[in-house]
Amino acid sequence: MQTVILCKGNSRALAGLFAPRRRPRTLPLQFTKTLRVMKLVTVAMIAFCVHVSAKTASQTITLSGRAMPLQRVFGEIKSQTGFLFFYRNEDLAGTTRVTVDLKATSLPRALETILQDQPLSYSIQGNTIFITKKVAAPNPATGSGQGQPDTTAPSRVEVHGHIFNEEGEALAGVNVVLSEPRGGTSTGTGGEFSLMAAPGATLTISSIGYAPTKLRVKRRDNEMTVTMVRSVNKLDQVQVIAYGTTTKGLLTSPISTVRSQDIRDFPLSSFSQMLQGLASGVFVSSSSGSPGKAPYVNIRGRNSIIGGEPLYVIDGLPILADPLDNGDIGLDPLIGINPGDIETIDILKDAGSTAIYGSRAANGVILITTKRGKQGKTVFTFNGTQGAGIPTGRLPLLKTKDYVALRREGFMNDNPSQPLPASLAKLDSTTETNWQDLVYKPTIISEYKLGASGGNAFTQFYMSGGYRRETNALSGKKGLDRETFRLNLDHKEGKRLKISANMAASRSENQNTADGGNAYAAVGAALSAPPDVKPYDSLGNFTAIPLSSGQVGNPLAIFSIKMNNVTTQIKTSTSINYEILDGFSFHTDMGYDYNSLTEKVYIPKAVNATLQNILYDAQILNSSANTYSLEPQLRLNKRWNTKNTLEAVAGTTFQKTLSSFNTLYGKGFPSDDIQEMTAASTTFGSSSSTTYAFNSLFGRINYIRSGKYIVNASFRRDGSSRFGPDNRFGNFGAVSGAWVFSRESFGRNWHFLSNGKLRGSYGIVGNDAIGDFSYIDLWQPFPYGNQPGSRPVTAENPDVKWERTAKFDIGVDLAFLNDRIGVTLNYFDNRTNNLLVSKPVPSQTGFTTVQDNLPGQVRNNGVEFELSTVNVHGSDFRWNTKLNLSWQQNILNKFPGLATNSAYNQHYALSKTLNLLWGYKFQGVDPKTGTPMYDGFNLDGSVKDPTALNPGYQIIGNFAPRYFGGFINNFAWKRFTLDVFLQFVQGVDAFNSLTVLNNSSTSNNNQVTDVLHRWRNQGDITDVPRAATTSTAWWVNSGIDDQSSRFLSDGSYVRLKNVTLAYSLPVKILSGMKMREFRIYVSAENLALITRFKGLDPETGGNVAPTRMIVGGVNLSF
Amino acid sequence: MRKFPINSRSILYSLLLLSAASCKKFVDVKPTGQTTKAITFESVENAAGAVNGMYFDLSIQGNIYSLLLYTNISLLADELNTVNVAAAPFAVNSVTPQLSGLTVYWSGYYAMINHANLVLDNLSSVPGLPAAQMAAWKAEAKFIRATAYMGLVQLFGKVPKVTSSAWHDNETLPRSPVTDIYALIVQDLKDAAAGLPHDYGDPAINRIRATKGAANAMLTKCYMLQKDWTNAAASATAVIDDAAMYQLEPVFDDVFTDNSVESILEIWFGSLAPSILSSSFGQGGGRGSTPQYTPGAKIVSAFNNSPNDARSFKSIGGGKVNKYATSTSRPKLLRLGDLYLLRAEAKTQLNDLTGGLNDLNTIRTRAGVDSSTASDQASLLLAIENERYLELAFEGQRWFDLIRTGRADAVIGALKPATWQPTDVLLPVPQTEINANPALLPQNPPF
Repeated sequence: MQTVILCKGNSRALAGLFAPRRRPRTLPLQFTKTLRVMKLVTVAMIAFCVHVSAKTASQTITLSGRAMPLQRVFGEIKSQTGFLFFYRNEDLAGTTRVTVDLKATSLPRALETILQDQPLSYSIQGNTIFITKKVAAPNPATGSGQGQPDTTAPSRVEVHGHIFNEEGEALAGVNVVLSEPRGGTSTGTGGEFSLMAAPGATLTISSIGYAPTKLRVKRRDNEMTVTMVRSVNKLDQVQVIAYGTTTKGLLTSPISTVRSQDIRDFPLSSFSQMLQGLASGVFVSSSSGSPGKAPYVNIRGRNSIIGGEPLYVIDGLPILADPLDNGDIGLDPLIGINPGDIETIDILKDAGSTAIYGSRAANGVILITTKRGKQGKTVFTFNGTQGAGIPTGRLPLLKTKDYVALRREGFMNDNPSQPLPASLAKLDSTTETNWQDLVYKPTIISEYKLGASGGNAFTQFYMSGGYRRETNALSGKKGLDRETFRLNLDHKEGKRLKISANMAASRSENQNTADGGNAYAAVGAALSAPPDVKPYDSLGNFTAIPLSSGQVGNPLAIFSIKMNNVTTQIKTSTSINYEILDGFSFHTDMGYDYNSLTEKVYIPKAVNATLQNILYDAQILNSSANTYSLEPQLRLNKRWNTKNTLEAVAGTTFQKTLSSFNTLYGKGFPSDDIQEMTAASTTFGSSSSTTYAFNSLFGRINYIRSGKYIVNASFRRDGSSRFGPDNRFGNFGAVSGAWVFSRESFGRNWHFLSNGKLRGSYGIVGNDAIGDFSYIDLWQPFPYGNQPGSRPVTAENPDVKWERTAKFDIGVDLAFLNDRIGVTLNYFDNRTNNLLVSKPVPSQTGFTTVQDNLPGQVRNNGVEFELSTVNVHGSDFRWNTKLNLSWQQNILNKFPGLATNSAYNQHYALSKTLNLLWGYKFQGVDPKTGTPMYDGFNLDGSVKDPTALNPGYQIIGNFAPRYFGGFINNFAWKRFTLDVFLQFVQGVDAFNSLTVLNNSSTSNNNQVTDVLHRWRNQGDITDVPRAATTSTAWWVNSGIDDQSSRFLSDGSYVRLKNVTLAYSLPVKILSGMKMREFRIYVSAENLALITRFKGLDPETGGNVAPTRMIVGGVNLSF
Repeated sequence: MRKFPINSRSILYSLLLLSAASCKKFVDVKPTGQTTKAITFESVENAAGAVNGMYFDLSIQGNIYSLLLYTNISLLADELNTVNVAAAPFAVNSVTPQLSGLTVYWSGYYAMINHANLVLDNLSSVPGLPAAQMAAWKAEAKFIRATAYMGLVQLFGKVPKVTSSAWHDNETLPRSPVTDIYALIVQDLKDAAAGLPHDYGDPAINRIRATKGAANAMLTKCYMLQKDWTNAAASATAVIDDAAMYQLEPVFDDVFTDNSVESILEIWFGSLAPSILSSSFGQGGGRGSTPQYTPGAKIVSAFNNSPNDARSFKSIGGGKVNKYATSTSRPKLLRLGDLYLLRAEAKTQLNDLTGGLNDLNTIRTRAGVDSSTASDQASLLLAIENERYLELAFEGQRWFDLIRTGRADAVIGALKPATWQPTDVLLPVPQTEINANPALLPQNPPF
């Protein structure tokens, strides 16, 4: 049946709701009342279908009243159905008041009744009802709209057409409205239509959920194939929320949504990275330019001292998103999710939308919805990408000549009368090694995704497989090799039973050389290695580079260390939904989430010789986490009458995470030929495990009246094993509401305003992001002398309890000029109490920290602004703009006793942000001696005020941005599209972390060329201190220089993040090729960076800077 | 409205029952990878582990007794050179309260003390623990506690006296006078000497856990610090005379083998080998061809002035410290050679020059060098000082010797005139500790 076909795009539509009776179709071209009614029934049914999940806009009208003006009647219908009316006031001038008594009458019937005795007629296009002066029924064969012969009119021509959607499915029931003569028709089950039209007349083709298309009738050959582009009215778009869905128009909370088409061309491996700059209030920052590393994701500021990640929920299953630890930068726990499988990412920010997640919601919630199958012919999609990347973020380093001069100058400054020691005299000044050139390699990016989806009326499927390969900018080894698989199934049985299953499995492998600050630090090694040393000695062995710390050696040797990380993830979730009564169902979600990281490290013999402090030659580390969850729920979705809709959900959660961590070390390998532990002469290992259990009751009630007033309340009681028996359970909840004022009578008169909504929410959410069992006095096993042993590791604190964040949010959603301009403005004010913290205690207690709650309060407030505009909407050229801007302020609002609490008063300050950078204030270089000057210190390093607790230590900067955002422009010209995406972060300070390593002027590390401006002679005015040796450079020995504002710079930046140019083949050619889509594109990531930052990259700090990538790709669909 | 079908009603009810009944139980999870204090002291086996685990605080990789005593503390004195920037402040005696490498000397020792206090406070609650076993274990805990306080008092001077395991009560304790700390150490070591076994009847354990001999050896050191020469000599003699257990190794190099008969207490490394200790000194499997720590010019010339000295190779051979040469080389926390020289010093101070000379020459003879002919007290004391420099090089003794004898100012001041200050004999209290407990103020001078 036509309606079924039309509705299959919306898999959430319930078959049982197709209540309106269907009538046999009458012939086209006959503008009879029956046809019109039929058409309107169809339209209403489509509307119904799209509105199904909303349950607010009624498809029937209940209205009774005496002598009502038509305007009032129209307003009432609008508020009940959400349909808009278009009419000219002068047309209504001559109308009479109406008296009606309608009870649950369908829209067309209601309109028929109301307009029965009026000189008016109506037509429905999309969700708009046009009221016009009644005209005589046009005669398609001969006449004009006035029914009088029009001798000048050209003869009518026959127009035939077929209408398809983007997937190539025939669209039935589409309105085809003709301008000359006035009239129209709708398409049949095969999407076909035909009518007689005047050449030059305009055909307007419209259907709910699709953008209207206009075509001109030609003199001949009017055989048309029309592809309709899906453009669901923004307010009717299905919006995923916690434990259910609603529509955008009925939301009471600010939710930013990122859709698959927004991110489909980004050549990045991780969807969380793709969120950067796309959603207001969401700050995303890469930790490293190497693929597969966990980015930092923060929603609406730092709520607490311990920080914390948002909760990630994939298709209803809350998943583990703690970075998988391999001792270096954490690997991205979400790397196994293929961004190509994602349909939408919804970011829940306020209490109203997140409180139902209770204790895990303090840092916001990110809901990921994957693609689902649609009923119809099986559709295959293929996406192939191939490209290359160029490493960025090099520092200018000294050449050998300058390096040797610096070292010698340092010695002579300190020992003016002594001869150069042999080690300095013999420095090889003819060798010139550019380590950065040797270390950085261009990267290669390839990605292939294959998908299939389809199904019948009962069962639909979506399946995909993806493969991605990306090399690392450091060393050119495997950066990320990822295989992903997904199968999503939906099955319906009868009217009441629905079953869904999602299964995803992935394997990600990387050989990232550690790029952080540890023993294998590759970036650091490349920048520190002296330029006068050859990489290999005369025998071809790695040159051992005796660097100051004894920890970094020959960068090339570091790359020879074999480090292989394999992340395996299985995420499955199933749900059963049984509708016990109409609108009342039992629903249960069951999930299993498996994450495993296996890291294998092997240090080849050649490298071993150059490294120190190596405890083992090989290491195998396995860390795994298994999470089981069960969430039975009862869901109510009830509409009593046309005005009142109630939606409610109540449920309980059982969730348990079992984590284990095993390590095996081996040493003494006979050769590099066998690198498995069986060959090691000595092995030793350890294992540990932990459990996290979670149990909750939750509920939500959502009440909607007349599509205008929405109130929402949610509650959750959570129990977490992370707290002591007396503090295990916490209560959380929120209330929120919205008022759609554009549906009020006064709002209807503001024609420029297509939507206006005011909303607000207040609630309390929590945070339990502390370690398992940190409240208890733990003892950990440690053997001694081959005998069992144990030692105390944590100080008990049974009083530790939830962190609680009270969140207030108020916002407005506005749309103007028929949705061409959309504006969202939010203000939020969040206050967190009982700050969870690992509190430093004096180590005379035997411990250094204890898990505790601080009495302070952190306040985060800010403003978020989202603007979307359709600047040009021509038939050939279109230009859309999206801007999002977030301004955030974070302050420590209260902290009783902070002034005397010396454990904290040197990390935090009242009324200042938590994100303070503390250190020593650099005050230039003394022109007389070349010694750096710091606030609070004399030139010889002694302190000016010996009574000060921590002399000279002060606030020198702030490491969280004041505002950030993204600016996106989409241009389309014919079949070409161009997307330009700028991302920016402003008002932040950052340490030039590696410059610290390289600008100490005392070690034998190579230096950045800044030191060429160093102090050399008395009277030199400069900001780079004199060269020195470690023994006299008190500023280096004391650690003051490293922590000084000398190495602090403005970390603000603007990045031209992505530019994508694409071309799609026209439908005409495609249909000849029996294809649905053929699209080719070129996408460039990280094209340009504007910043005053002096280190490698303001975003990634001391780690590998983001690479500049250019990829070409193709999307095929058939 | 229709009535609920029976099955859905039962689903609803069972759901509510399920959640109500299992809420508390479901989240009542016990740790699996670790135990709690209650579990640790609820059985004799677990309590045995808690006692044995006290040594882990000593042996944990990179901690004081497994590395930092022999590197940074030796740098403070006149023994070592380093290329390690992080260690440089120790080499020039410019350790500031902010220096991150300083903290471990405070927190490491107090972790040992807390562990010992926990053992002392909780053993009595272990069901079925025989009284004799409890006494021996308490003696062992007291030895560990005294050992930690010995380190603290020599490095920092006045320190908080923590004798209970109620951690919350210890947070705000101020520093106690040095004499109070000495009194605690002496009492603990006397109790330890009384309660500890002479040996464990197991050669694998005898020298890696505290014994009566270890307690007496540590007691000797404490008496020496207090210039109680008589008691020092007496307790040293108690160990030296126990020839069944302790003898000088005839060949010096054998001193540094594991389970040497000269060892009174060794720090066990076990499976964590090779130790950071050996690789830091450039040992092991061809690794680290450029050691981070190498013998300083002064000690090299001291050995050059002692020709044919059998100790030369182990100390400075090939420009490297070879005392921790093998992957499992256990540092000797207490060894008989040390006690001979301590007794020599105590006897000399008591004007028993013959006795002092005898003990000194016992060591010199083993080293294959000529006997000392020092004839007056002052020159004999200097000869003993020099002998300890050579005999115990890089064993973490030199700095404490110079502090104990008050010679640091003269010796280190002469070596490092640019950076030495007389107040450098004590390390500053770590700034983080003062921040967490301002009652620790005033800071050690000059800070």
